[in-house]
Amino acid sequence: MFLLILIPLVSAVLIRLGLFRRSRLSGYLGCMSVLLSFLCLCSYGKVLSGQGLIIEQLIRWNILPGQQISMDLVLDPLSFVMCLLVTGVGFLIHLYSLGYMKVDQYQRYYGYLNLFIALMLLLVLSDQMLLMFVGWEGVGLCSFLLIGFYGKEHQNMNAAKKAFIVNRIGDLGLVSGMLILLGWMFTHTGAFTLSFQDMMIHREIFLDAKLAGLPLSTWVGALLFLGICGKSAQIPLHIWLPDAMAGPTPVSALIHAASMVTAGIYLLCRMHFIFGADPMLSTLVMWVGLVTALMGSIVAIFQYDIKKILAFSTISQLGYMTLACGMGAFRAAIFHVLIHGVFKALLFLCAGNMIKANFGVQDIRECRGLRQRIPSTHRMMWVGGLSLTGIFPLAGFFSKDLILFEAFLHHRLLFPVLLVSVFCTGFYMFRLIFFSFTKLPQDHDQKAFTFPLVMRMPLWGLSFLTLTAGWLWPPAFLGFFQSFPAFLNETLGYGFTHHDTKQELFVLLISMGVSIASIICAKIYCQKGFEFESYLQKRFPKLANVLSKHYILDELYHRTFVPLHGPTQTFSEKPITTSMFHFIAVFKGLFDRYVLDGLVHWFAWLPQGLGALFGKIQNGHIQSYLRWMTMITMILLFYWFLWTFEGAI
Amino acid sequence: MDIAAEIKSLVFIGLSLMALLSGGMILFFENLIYSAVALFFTLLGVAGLYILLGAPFLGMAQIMVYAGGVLVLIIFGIFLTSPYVEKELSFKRHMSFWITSIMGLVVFQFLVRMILRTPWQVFTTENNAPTSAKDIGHLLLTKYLLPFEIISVVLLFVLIGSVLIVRKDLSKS
Amino acid sequence: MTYLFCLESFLIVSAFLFVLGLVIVLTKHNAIQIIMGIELIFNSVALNFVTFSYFRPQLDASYQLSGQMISIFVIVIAAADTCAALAIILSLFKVYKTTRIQSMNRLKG
Repeated sequence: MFLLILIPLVSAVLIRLGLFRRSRLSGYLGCMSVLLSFLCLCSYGKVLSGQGLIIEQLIRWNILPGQQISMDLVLDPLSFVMCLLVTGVGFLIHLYSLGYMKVDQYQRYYGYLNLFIALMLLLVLSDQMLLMFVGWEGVGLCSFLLIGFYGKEHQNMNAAKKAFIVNRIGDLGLVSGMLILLGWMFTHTGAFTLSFQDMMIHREIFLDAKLAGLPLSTWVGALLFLGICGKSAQIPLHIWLPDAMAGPTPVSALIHAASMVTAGIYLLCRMHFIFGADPMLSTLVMWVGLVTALMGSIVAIFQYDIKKILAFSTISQLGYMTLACGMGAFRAAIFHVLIHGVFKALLFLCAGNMIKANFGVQDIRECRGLRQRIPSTHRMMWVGGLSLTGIFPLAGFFSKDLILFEAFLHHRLLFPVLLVSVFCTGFYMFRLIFFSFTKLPQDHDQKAFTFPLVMRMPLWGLSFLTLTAGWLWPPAFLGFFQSFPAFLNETLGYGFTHHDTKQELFVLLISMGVSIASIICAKIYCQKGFEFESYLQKRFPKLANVLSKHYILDELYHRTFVPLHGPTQTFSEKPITTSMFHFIAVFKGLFDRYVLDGLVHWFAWLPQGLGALFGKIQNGHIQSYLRWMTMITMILLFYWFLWTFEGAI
Repeated sequence: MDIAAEIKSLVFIGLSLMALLSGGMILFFENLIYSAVALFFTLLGVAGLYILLGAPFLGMAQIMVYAGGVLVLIIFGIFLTSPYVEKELSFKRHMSFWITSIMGLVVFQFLVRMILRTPWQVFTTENNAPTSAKDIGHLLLTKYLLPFEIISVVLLFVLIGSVLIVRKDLSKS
Repeated sequence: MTYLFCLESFLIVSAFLFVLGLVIVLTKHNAIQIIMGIELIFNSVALNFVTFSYFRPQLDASYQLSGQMISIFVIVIAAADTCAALAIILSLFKVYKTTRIQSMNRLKG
């Protein structure tokens, strides 16, 4: 198993050292190493299905006299699935990059990319949390290197820095949580270890100790969840992901769709004995996931850059996975990780094709004649888009349905909100497709753009997988192909156990209905061109600003935390007393200006602004008043109905 | 008798279809006179349903008063307020139309669900004879005397009030 | 088909008429068509009463026909209501020179 990690690592070092002198060989070596890892993994698969678990010891580390930490690698069904995703999709993306990147960039690119694969595998395969943390940080580093790949432009490096720094902020929580866990394991078991296997065996101790009324596991879980938010781009630490699109498109496909961002979900599922057993913690996880899913999909509707739309889509889908973990359906979350990795990589690679065919322009308002030039990519975008929206028989339908069904069964009040998010998902995706692939009038002479075979093959592979992989876990009432959830059962014991066919069919039909409605709405919307959006910009510029720019979170961070850099700079320039006074003075000035004056301004704004806002509803048109009244009555009726007629839907 | 019951059900279906479809046509037509005609058929359908429910007097009253009085009043209103220049009405529905229709469908769906779920206790044996005018007259003058008188006063007030609203302002001229 | 002649079907017909009337009131541009919608709503209510009078046994047998009586009064009230409404529309027409309610938004803001 160590080979799985070693091969890409060695090839990364060899490539980056320039052993192949800027030729194509570095690219071929990069692809071959990932393929070899994949084949190694498949060979372990046979052993795994027999044994259920493989542990391989890597090193014994004497950190204290008399105390050893054994760094093990473990291959259980959960890590098998993750490795499959990383190496499988990773190999296809390596192949694609052979055609996408220029040959003289191969050396740096494949070096970093293989390093990423190696570290990601380390993250997923390691049994010790400390070793996993090495992988966690390592993939953060590789993400930094790869986002800033085109380092000549300032904004790319800023994006890379942002990604790394936000990640580190999350790691504050992760490390604190890990340290508390380490101390805890030590006091309770006497062994200085953070092995996942050992923690699972001793999982009862996590619920005993209490701190300020809550079990200690709630605090630890919340701290770890902060790290997960940073890595998996949940609100409020999601801001790095849209900017991370500054890197090359295959990097976005691999790192920011299939692999790195799923590391957080992986950790959530690994620690399912904490996250699943504590009700307050799972409520927190659930709500963060829900908010992220909803907000990501809404912001995506207002974006114009292809890659940013897909980035927000990833944020939203990660919110779905977090939501599933919060509801206790860990197997559903992992299934969605797998399926989402496949179709999101497909979508990103198709976006790469679109960008190449459009000569580097990424704005959907400026796509000319893509339908004639790259018809096959158009078809594959449709496949990916239908899968994202959750249309039968594509893969996304099955994985999304599991999450929706779980929400419907146990958290019925969240279900309509999720449906809104599903609608937005279909809407933004097909807004992207319909806007970019408009038909041009026939006066343009458009030749078809041909892509080299290395770029076409991965897309075929991913499309095939998107069409078929959903059948790994069809709905339970169908009865067949239920071996996948059973496969994951030993590692992630939680999950729904009862199946009501009628209810599941109901959920399936409703979600399909909502998805299809969103596609139709997107079609109608796109026929009007960009009129509605320019109208929105003119009439409600502030609202449009908030909606399209991550709900002012980005600007908020820029205004509050980033300027802190300024005052602290004086510490390096002037003597200590001067700089301390300067530092305090800056804060005092800010306090005066924003807090004291701000309070007064805010009080004045409150009646005026709110009054103006609500005054807009009074348009003098009695029918619109009546409509609002009916709609609100209807919503109240809906919730009352659900509440009183609970079991008899 | 089986056949009588079957015919009754068929007539019910026919009449309710007429009422509902005409209601739909009121919604569908933009032209005022067309929708007034559709309203006429709706009222007719509902009158038929009244007769089916053993209230022939009510059905006749509906036709005479409603279809023959109120509808004519509405048509008068249409004639008095029709635009001098016949504008081409656009048949493209605005977005709020569809949203409201969906809302209406949802409300209808709720109502139907509640209707079908409630345990109504109905007559087990059907022995309702149609109500004769004699019964209704008797009731009007004994049990419902007060509402009868009040309603005549109401009608008087409404008549006088409507005339008051519409007449020309004498103080100005 | 005899099972169709029951309380629930009449109530469903009445509910549908109600919803139709509601949608007409909420969507039509012409004030007179809104009055037609209101008439539909009145009709559905009256139909409801007569249905219950026919199908449901009352505790006190003398109240069996009260549904029909109420419907008679509903018809009368509807007539009065239409009369008053048309009077209002006529006077509005004198001011706005049109019956499109979208032009009547002086209460805006």
